[in-house]
Amino acid sequence: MPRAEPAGRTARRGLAAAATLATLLQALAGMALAQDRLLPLDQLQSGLAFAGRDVQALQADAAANPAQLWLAQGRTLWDSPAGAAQRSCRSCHGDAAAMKGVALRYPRLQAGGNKLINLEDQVRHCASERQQAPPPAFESDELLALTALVTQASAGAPLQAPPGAALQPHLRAGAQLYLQRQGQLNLACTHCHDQRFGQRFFTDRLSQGQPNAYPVYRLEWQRLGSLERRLRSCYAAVRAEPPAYGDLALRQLALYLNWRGQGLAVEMPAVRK
Amino acid sequence: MPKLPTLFSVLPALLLALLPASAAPAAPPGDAARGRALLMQRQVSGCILCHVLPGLPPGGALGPPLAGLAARYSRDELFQRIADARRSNPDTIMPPYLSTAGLHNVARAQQGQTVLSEQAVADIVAYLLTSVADGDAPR
Repeated sequence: MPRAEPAGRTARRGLAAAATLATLLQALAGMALAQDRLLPLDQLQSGLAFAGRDVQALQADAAANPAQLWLAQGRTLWDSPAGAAQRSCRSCHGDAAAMKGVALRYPRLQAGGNKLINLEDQVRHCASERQQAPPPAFESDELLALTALVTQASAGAPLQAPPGAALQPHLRAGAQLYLQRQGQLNLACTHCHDQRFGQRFFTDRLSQGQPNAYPVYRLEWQRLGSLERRLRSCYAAVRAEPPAYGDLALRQLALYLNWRGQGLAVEMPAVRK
Repeated sequence: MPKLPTLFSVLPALLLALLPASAAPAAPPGDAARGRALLMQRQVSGCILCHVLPGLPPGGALGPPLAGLAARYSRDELFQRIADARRSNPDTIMPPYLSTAGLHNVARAQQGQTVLSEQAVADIVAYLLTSVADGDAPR
Protein backbone atom coordinates (compact mmCIF):
# COMPACT_ATOMS: atom_id res chain seq x y z
CA MET A 1 0.00 0.00 0.00
CA PRO A 2 1.49 3.43 -0.94
CA ARG A 3 2.65 5.56 1.96
CA ALA A 4 0.96 8.96 2.38
CA GLU A 5 3.45 11.86 2.11
CA PRO A 6 3.43 14.75 4.57
CA ALA A 7 1.43 17.66 3.09
CA GLY A 8 4.40 20.10 3.37
CA ARG A 9 6.70 17.97 1.29
CA THR A 10 4.08 17.54 -1.42
CA ALA A 11 3.56 21.31 -1.60
CA ARG A 12 7.33 21.94 -1.81
CA ARG A 13 7.63 19.41 -4.58
CA GLY A 14 4.75 21.07 -6.39
CA LEU A 15 6.44 24.45 -6.15
CA ALA A 16 9.75 23.08 -7.34
CA ALA A 17 8.05 21.38 -10.26
CA ALA A 18 6.22 24.60 -11.16
CA ALA A 19 9.50 26.56 -11.05
CA THR A 20 11.21 23.99 -13.23
CA LEU A 21 8.32 24.10 -15.67
CA ALA A 22 8.42 27.91 -15.78
CA THR A 23 12.15 27.87 -16.49
CA LEU A 24 11.66 25.25 -19.15
CA LEU A 25 8.86 27.22 -20.82
CA GLN A 26 11.02 30.35 -20.79
CA ALA A 27 13.88 28.49 -22.39
CA LEU A 28 11.53 26.99 -24.97
CA ALA A 29 10.12 30.41 -25.85
CA GLY A 30 13.65 31.66 -26.45
CA MET A 31 14.51 28.66 -28.56
CA ALA A 32 11.24 28.63 -30.45
CA LEU A 33 12.64 30.48 -33.45
CA ALA A 34 15.90 28.52 -33.52
CA GLN A 35 14.04 25.22 -33.48
CA ASP A 36 11.81 26.35 -36.28
CA ARG A 37 14.51 27.42 -38.71
CA LEU A 38 12.75 26.28 -41.85
CA LEU A 39 15.75 27.12 -44.00
CA PRO A 40 18.97 25.77 -42.45
CA LEU A 41 21.79 28.32 -42.32
CA ASP A 42 24.10 26.07 -44.36
CA GLN A 43 21.61 26.19 -47.24
CA LEU A 44 21.34 29.97 -47.53
CA GLN A 45 21.75 31.34 -51.04
CA SER A 46 21.54 34.89 -52.31
CA GLY A 47 18.93 35.60 -54.95
CA LEU A 48 21.86 36.09 -57.31
CA ALA A 49 22.36 32.32 -57.36
CA PHE A 50 18.87 31.87 -58.82
CA ALA A 51 19.11 34.73 -61.32
CA GLY A 52 19.85 34.25 -65.00
CA ARG A 53 23.39 34.60 -66.33
CA ASP A 54 22.51 37.94 -67.93
CA VAL A 55 21.46 39.37 -64.56
CA GLN A 56 24.56 37.96 -62.85
CA ALA A 57 26.76 39.49 -65.54
CA LEU A 58 25.04 42.87 -65.24
CA GLN A 59 25.57 42.94 -61.49
CA ALA A 60 29.22 41.92 -61.80
CA ASP A 61 30.03 44.58 -64.42
CA ALA A 62 30.83 47.73 -62.43
CA ALA A 63 30.60 49.89 -65.54
CA ALA A 64 27.22 48.54 -66.67
CA ASN A 65 25.52 47.88 -63.34
CA PRO A 66 22.57 50.30 -63.45
CA ALA A 67 22.39 50.61 -59.64
CA GLN A 68 25.63 52.61 -59.90
CA LEU A 69 23.57 55.59 -61.07
CA TRP A 70 21.85 55.76 -57.68
CA LEU A 71 25.12 55.31 -55.81
CA ALA A 72 26.55 58.24 -57.77
CA GLN A 73 23.51 60.33 -56.88
CA GLY A 74 23.91 59.22 -53.27
CA ARG A 75 27.52 60.41 -53.18
CA THR A 76 26.44 63.81 -54.48
CA LEU A 77 23.61 64.08 -51.96
CA TRP A 78 25.91 62.96 -49.15
CA ASP A 79 28.10 66.01 -49.71
CA SER A 80 25.32 68.52 -50.44
CA PRO A 81 24.21 70.90 -47.67
CA ALA A 82 20.41 70.91 -47.53
CA GLY A 83 17.47 72.29 -45.59
CA ALA A 84 17.23 75.29 -43.30
CA ALA A 85 20.21 73.97 -41.36
CA GLN A 86 22.32 73.80 -44.53
CA ARG A 87 23.92 70.62 -43.32
CA SER A 88 25.02 67.66 -45.42
CA CYS A 89 25.21 64.04 -44.34
CA ARG A 90 28.96 64.50 -44.33
CA SER A 91 28.69 67.36 -41.83
CA CYS A 92 27.69 64.86 -39.13
CA HIS A 93 28.91 61.50 -40.42
CA GLY A 94 32.08 62.26 -42.35
CA ASP A 95 32.86 59.90 -45.17
CA ALA A 96 30.07 57.54 -46.29
CA ALA A 97 32.51 54.65 -45.93
CA ALA A 98 32.44 55.33 -42.18
CA MET A 99 28.87 53.99 -42.18
CA LYS A 100 30.20 50.44 -42.36
CA GLY A 101 27.93 48.09 -40.42
CA VAL A 102 25.18 50.68 -39.96
CA ALA A 103 22.76 49.23 -42.52
CA LEU A 104 23.05 45.83 -40.80
CA ARG A 105 21.45 47.20 -37.65
CA TYR A 106 18.07 47.90 -39.26
CA PRO A 107 15.17 47.43 -38.64
CA ARG A 108 15.81 48.49 -35.05
CA LEU A 109 13.87 50.12 -32.25
CA GLN A 110 13.98 53.90 -32.32
CA ALA A 111 16.06 55.29 -29.46
CA GLY A 112 13.79 56.15 -26.58
CA GLY A 113 10.73 54.77 -28.32
CA ASN A 114 8.98 51.60 -29.27
CA LYS A 115 8.78 52.28 -32.98
CA LEU A 116 10.45 49.75 -35.26
CA ILE A 117 12.34 51.81 -37.81
CA ASN A 118 14.32 50.94 -40.91
CA LEU A 119 17.18 52.68 -42.70
CA GLU A 120 14.75 54.67 -44.84
CA ASP A 121 13.11 56.07 -41.68
CA GLN A 122 16.48 57.02 -40.28
CA VAL A 123 17.50 58.92 -43.42
CA ARG A 124 14.12 60.70 -43.43
CA HIS A 125 14.56 61.46 -39.74
CA CYS A 126 17.99 62.97 -40.40
CA ALA A 127 16.55 65.11 -43.20
CA SER A 128 13.75 66.57 -41.11
CA GLU A 129 15.55 66.81 -37.75
CA ARG A 130 19.18 67.51 -38.65
CA GLN A 131 18.86 69.27 -41.98
CA GLN A 132 15.42 70.76 -41.32
CA ALA A 133 14.50 69.74 -44.84
CA PRO A 134 11.35 67.98 -46.12
CA PRO A 135 12.04 64.22 -45.73
CA PRO A 136 12.47 62.44 -49.07
CA ALA A 137 9.41 60.33 -49.99
CA PHE A 138 9.49 56.53 -49.79
CA GLU A 139 10.83 55.11 -53.09
CA SER A 140 12.07 58.53 -54.24
CA ASP A 141 15.41 58.52 -56.07
CA GLU A 142 16.90 60.63 -53.27
CA LEU A 143 15.94 58.21 -50.51
CA LEU A 144 16.99 55.14 -52.50
CA ALA A 145 20.29 56.80 -53.43
CA LEU A 146 21.16 57.54 -49.81
CA THR A 147 20.05 54.17 -48.42
CA ALA A 148 22.00 52.46 -51.20
CA LEU A 149 25.11 54.48 -50.37
CA VAL A 150 24.89 53.73 -46.65
CA THR A 151 24.29 50.05 -47.42
CA GLN A 152 27.26 49.98 -49.76
CA ALA A 153 29.50 50.75 -46.79
CA SER A 154 28.49 47.29 -45.49
CA ALA A 155 28.88 45.47 -48.80
CA GLY A 156 30.28 42.00 -48.22
CA ALA A 157 29.43 42.02 -44.53
CA PRO A 158 27.09 39.25 -43.28
CA LEU A 159 23.43 39.90 -42.47
CA GLN A 160 22.91 39.87 -38.74
CA ALA A 161 20.22 38.37 -36.56
CA PRO A 162 18.30 41.09 -34.72
CA PRO A 163 20.00 41.52 -31.34
CA GLY A 164 18.36 41.94 -27.96
CA ALA A 165 15.24 40.77 -26.18
CA ALA A 166 13.25 43.90 -27.06
CA LEU A 167 13.17 42.91 -30.73
CA GLN A 168 12.03 39.35 -30.10
CA PRO A 169 8.27 40.06 -30.12
CA HIS A 170 8.67 41.83 -33.48
CA LEU A 171 10.79 38.97 -34.78
CA ARG A 172 8.12 36.47 -33.77
CA ALA A 173 5.42 38.63 -35.37
CA GLY A 174 7.50 38.69 -38.55
CA ALA A 175 7.79 34.91 -38.47
CA GLN A 176 4.05 34.63 -38.08
CA LEU A 177 3.46 36.92 -41.07
CA TYR A 178 5.93 34.87 -43.09
CA LEU A 179 3.98 31.69 -42.37
CA GLN A 180 0.51 33.16 -42.76
CA ARG A 181 -1.40 32.11 -45.86
CA GLN A 182 -3.01 35.16 -47.37
CA GLY A 183 -4.61 36.73 -50.38
CA GLN A 184 -7.02 35.34 -52.93
CA LEU A 185 -4.33 32.82 -53.97
CA ASN A 186 -3.99 31.63 -50.35
CA LEU A 187 -0.19 31.41 -50.21
CA ALA A 188 2.38 32.20 -47.52
CA CYS A 189 5.97 33.35 -48.13
CA THR A 190 7.23 30.00 -46.86
CA HIS A 191 5.45 28.04 -49.60
CA CYS A 192 7.64 29.49 -52.33
CA HIS A 193 10.79 30.58 -50.53
CA ASP A 194 11.43 27.79 -48.00
CA GLN A 195 9.81 24.83 -49.67
CA ARG A 196 10.30 25.47 -53.37
CA PHE A 197 13.30 27.70 -54.03
CA GLY A 198 15.19 26.65 -57.12
CA GLN A 199 12.02 25.28 -58.72
CA ARG A 200 10.71 26.78 -61.93
CA PHE A 201 8.05 29.46 -61.63
CA PHE A 202 7.01 30.03 -65.26
CA THR A 203 10.43 30.62 -66.85
CA ASP A 204 12.39 31.67 -63.74
CA ARG A 205 13.73 29.88 -60.72
CA LEU A 206 12.21 30.80 -57.36
CA SER A 207 14.70 32.41 -55.00
CA GLN A 208 14.85 32.07 -51.23
CA GLY A 209 13.48 35.57 -50.82
CA GLN A 210 16.64 36.85 -49.18
CA PRO A 211 16.97 40.54 -48.19
CA ASN A 212 20.73 40.94 -48.70
CA ALA A 213 20.69 43.07 -51.87
CA TYR A 214 18.32 45.96 -51.11
CA PRO A 215 17.72 48.54 -52.34
CA VAL A 216 18.07 46.62 -55.59
CA TYR A 217 17.85 47.47 -59.29
CA ARG A 218 15.11 45.30 -60.76
CA LEU A 219 14.82 45.00 -64.51
CA GLU A 220 11.05 44.73 -64.02
CA TRP A 221 11.01 48.14 -62.29
CA GLN A 222 13.68 49.74 -64.49
CA ARG A 223 14.94 51.44 -61.35
CA LEU A 224 16.14 50.92 -57.81
CA GLY A 225 13.55 49.80 -55.25
CA SER A 226 13.44 49.08 -51.54
CA LEU A 227 12.81 45.81 -49.74
CA GLU A 228 9.40 47.19 -48.77
CA ARG A 229 8.55 47.67 -52.42
CA ARG A 230 9.56 44.08 -53.14
CA LEU A 231 7.49 42.76 -50.23
CA ARG A 232 4.50 44.77 -51.42
CA SER A 233 4.95 43.16 -54.86
CA CYS A 234 4.76 39.74 -53.23
CA TYR A 235 1.55 40.72 -51.44
CA ALA A 236 0.12 41.83 -54.78
CA ALA A 237 1.26 38.61 -56.46
CA VAL A 238 -0.83 36.48 -54.09
CA ARG A 239 -3.61 39.08 -54.37
CA ALA A 240 -3.33 40.14 -50.74
CA GLU A 241 -3.84 43.72 -49.56
CA PRO A 242 -0.31 45.16 -49.32
CA PRO A 243 0.60 47.08 -46.16
CA ALA A 244 1.42 50.76 -46.75
CA TYR A 245 5.06 51.84 -46.88
CA GLY A 246 6.27 52.16 -43.32
CA ASP A 247 3.69 49.72 -41.97
CA LEU A 248 4.82 47.75 -38.93
CA ALA A 249 4.09 44.45 -40.71
CA LEU A 250 6.71 45.18 -43.40
CA ARG A 251 9.29 46.10 -40.75
CA GLN A 252 8.59 42.90 -38.81
CA LEU A 253 8.88 40.84 -41.96
CA ALA A 254 12.20 42.54 -42.78
CA LEU A 255 13.43 41.73 -39.28
CA TYR A 256 12.50 38.08 -39.72
CA LEU A 257 14.16 37.97 -43.15
CA ASN A 258 17.41 39.26 -41.63
CA TRP A 259 17.25 36.59 -38.94
CA ARG A 260 16.43 33.96 -41.52
CA GLY A 261 19.24 35.04 -43.84
CA GLN A 262 21.87 35.82 -41.21
CA GLY A 263 25.33 35.24 -42.57
CA LEU A 264 24.54 36.08 -46.19
CA ALA A 265 26.82 38.78 -47.57
CA VAL A 266 25.33 42.18 -48.37
CA GLU A 267 25.39 42.90 -52.11
CA MET A 268 25.54 46.51 -53.25
CA PRO A 269 25.09 47.54 -56.03
CA ALA A 270 22.83 44.61 -56.94
CA VAL A 271 20.60 43.66 -59.86
CA ARG A 272 17.64 41.29 -60.09
CA LYS A 273 15.06 40.46 -62.71
CA MET B 1 7.44 30.08 -33.18
CA PRO B 2 3.67 30.00 -32.50
CA LYS B 3 1.90 27.12 -34.17
CA LEU B 4 -1.57 28.46 -33.56
CA PRO B 5 -1.98 30.63 -36.68
CA THR B 6 -0.83 27.73 -38.83
CA LEU B 7 -3.47 25.54 -37.25
CA PHE B 8 -6.10 28.23 -37.73
CA SER B 9 -5.14 28.65 -41.33
CA VAL B 10 -5.71 24.99 -42.13
CA LEU B 11 -8.86 24.65 -40.04
CA PRO B 12 -11.21 26.01 -42.73
CA ALA B 13 -9.66 23.62 -45.21
CA LEU B 14 -10.06 20.72 -42.78
CA LEU B 15 -13.69 21.60 -42.24
CA LEU B 16 -14.16 21.89 -45.99
CA ALA B 17 -12.65 18.47 -46.47
CA LEU B 18 -15.24 17.03 -44.10
CA LEU B 19 -18.13 18.41 -46.13
CA PRO B 20 -20.02 15.82 -48.16
CA ALA B 21 -18.96 15.77 -51.80
CA SER B 22 -22.52 16.62 -52.80
CA ALA B 23 -22.02 20.14 -51.42
CA ALA B 24 -19.50 20.85 -54.19
CA PRO B 25 -20.83 22.46 -57.36
CA ALA B 26 -21.13 20.16 -60.35
CA ALA B 27 -19.15 20.92 -63.50
CA PRO B 28 -21.12 22.74 -66.19
CA PRO B 29 -20.28 21.92 -69.83
CA GLY B 30 -17.05 23.61 -70.92
CA ASP B 31 -15.46 24.97 -74.08
CA ALA B 32 -11.93 23.61 -74.68
CA ALA B 33 -10.82 26.51 -76.88
CA ARG B 34 -11.73 29.04 -74.22
CA GLY B 35 -10.05 26.79 -71.65
CA ARG B 36 -6.84 26.76 -73.67
CA ALA B 37 -6.75 30.57 -73.69
CA LEU B 38 -7.39 30.68 -69.95
CA LEU B 39 -4.63 28.17 -69.19
CA MET B 40 -2.10 30.37 -70.98
CA GLN B 41 -3.26 33.49 -69.16
CA ARG B 42 -0.57 34.56 -66.71
CA GLN B 43 -2.53 37.26 -64.93
CA VAL B 44 -6.06 35.87 -64.60
CA SER B 45 -5.67 32.14 -64.00
CA GLY B 46 -1.89 31.85 -63.71
CA CYS B 47 -2.06 28.09 -64.49
CA ILE B 48 0.99 28.18 -66.76
CA LEU B 49 3.09 29.85 -64.05
CA CYS B 50 3.14 26.58 -62.09
CA HIS B 51 2.24 23.82 -64.57
CA VAL B 52 3.54 22.35 -67.78
CA LEU B 53 0.42 22.12 -69.93
CA PRO B 54 -0.14 19.72 -72.83
CA GLY B 55 0.06 21.39 -76.21
CA LEU B 56 1.08 24.77 -74.79
CA PRO B 57 4.41 26.65 -74.45
CA PRO B 58 6.54 25.48 -71.49
CA GLY B 59 5.22 26.52 -68.09
CA GLY B 60 6.43 26.32 -64.52
CA ALA B 61 7.17 23.26 -62.42
CA LEU B 62 5.76 24.09 -58.99
CA GLY B 63 2.77 21.86 -59.67
CA PRO B 64 2.62 18.57 -61.59
CA PRO B 65 2.55 18.50 -65.41
CA LEU B 66 -1.07 18.39 -66.54
CA ALA B 67 -0.87 15.91 -69.41
CA GLY B 68 -2.89 12.73 -69.53
CA LEU B 69 -5.43 13.78 -66.94
CA ALA B 70 -8.34 12.12 -68.75
CA ALA B 71 -6.91 8.73 -67.81
CA ARG B 72 -6.90 9.62 -64.11
CA TYR B 73 -9.84 11.94 -63.46
CA SER B 74 -13.48 12.25 -64.34
CA ARG B 75 -14.77 15.63 -65.45
CA ASP B 76 -16.33 16.28 -62.03
CA GLU B 77 -13.20 15.17 -60.15
CA LEU B 78 -11.00 17.49 -62.16
CA PHE B 79 -13.48 20.32 -61.71
CA GLN B 80 -13.43 19.81 -57.94
CA ARG B 81 -9.62 19.69 -57.91
CA ILE B 82 -9.43 23.12 -59.49
CA ALA B 83 -12.43 24.50 -57.60
CA ASP B 84 -10.78 23.88 -54.24
CA ALA B 85 -7.73 21.64 -54.07
CA ARG B 86 -7.77 21.93 -50.26
CA ARG B 87 -10.50 19.30 -50.24
CA SER B 88 -8.02 16.62 -51.22
CA ASN B 89 -4.90 18.19 -49.62
CA PRO B 90 -5.17 20.84 -46.90
CA ASP B 91 -1.47 21.72 -47.35
CA THR B 92 -1.74 22.32 -51.08
CA ILE B 93 -0.20 25.42 -52.68
CA MET B 94 -2.82 25.29 -55.44
CA PRO B 95 -5.05 28.36 -55.02
CA PRO B 96 -8.75 27.70 -54.47
CA TYR B 97 -10.22 28.84 -57.79
CA LEU B 98 -13.88 28.68 -56.84
CA SER B 99 -13.83 29.25 -53.09
CA THR B 100 -13.30 32.21 -50.82
CA ALA B 101 -13.64 30.13 -47.64
CA GLY B 102 -10.94 30.69 -45.03
CA LEU B 103 -9.01 33.31 -47.03
CA HIS B 104 -7.04 35.94 -45.11
CA ASN B 105 -6.19 39.56 -46.07
CA VAL B 106 -7.55 39.37 -49.61
CA ALA B 107 -6.77 42.49 -51.68
CA ARG B 108 -9.64 44.98 -51.69
CA ALA B 109 -10.12 44.60 -55.43
CA GLN B 110 -10.69 40.84 -55.09
CA GLN B 111 -12.58 40.66 -51.82
CA GLY B 112 -15.51 38.23 -51.87
CA GLN B 113 -14.60 37.11 -55.39
CA THR B 114 -13.34 33.74 -56.52
CA VAL B 115 -10.27 33.61 -58.80
CA LEU B 116 -12.30 32.24 -61.71
CA SER B 117 -15.96 31.66 -62.59
CA GLU B 118 -17.51 28.18 -62.66
CA GLN B 119 -17.74 28.49 -66.43
CA ALA B 120 -14.03 29.34 -66.72
CA VAL B 121 -13.06 26.31 -64.63
CA ALA B 122 -15.35 24.12 -66.73
CA ASP B 123 -13.64 25.47 -69.88
CA ILE B 124 -10.21 24.64 -68.43
CA VAL B 125 -11.39 21.14 -67.53
CA ALA B 126 -12.71 20.65 -71.06
CA TYR B 127 -9.28 21.48 -72.51
CA LEU B 128 -7.34 19.34 -70.04
CA LEU B 129 -9.54 16.32 -70.75
CA THR B 130 -8.85 16.48 -74.49
CA SER B 131 -5.32 15.32 -73.71
CA VAL B 132 -5.38 11.59 -73.00
CA ALA B 133 -1.71 10.66 -72.68
CA ASP B 134 1.53 12.30 -71.58
CA GLY B 135 3.00 14.44 -74.33
CA ASP B 136 -0.17 14.12 -76.38
CA ALA B 137 -1.00 17.49 -77.86
CA PRO B 138 -4.74 18.08 -77.80
CA ARG B 139 -6.40 18.71 -81.12
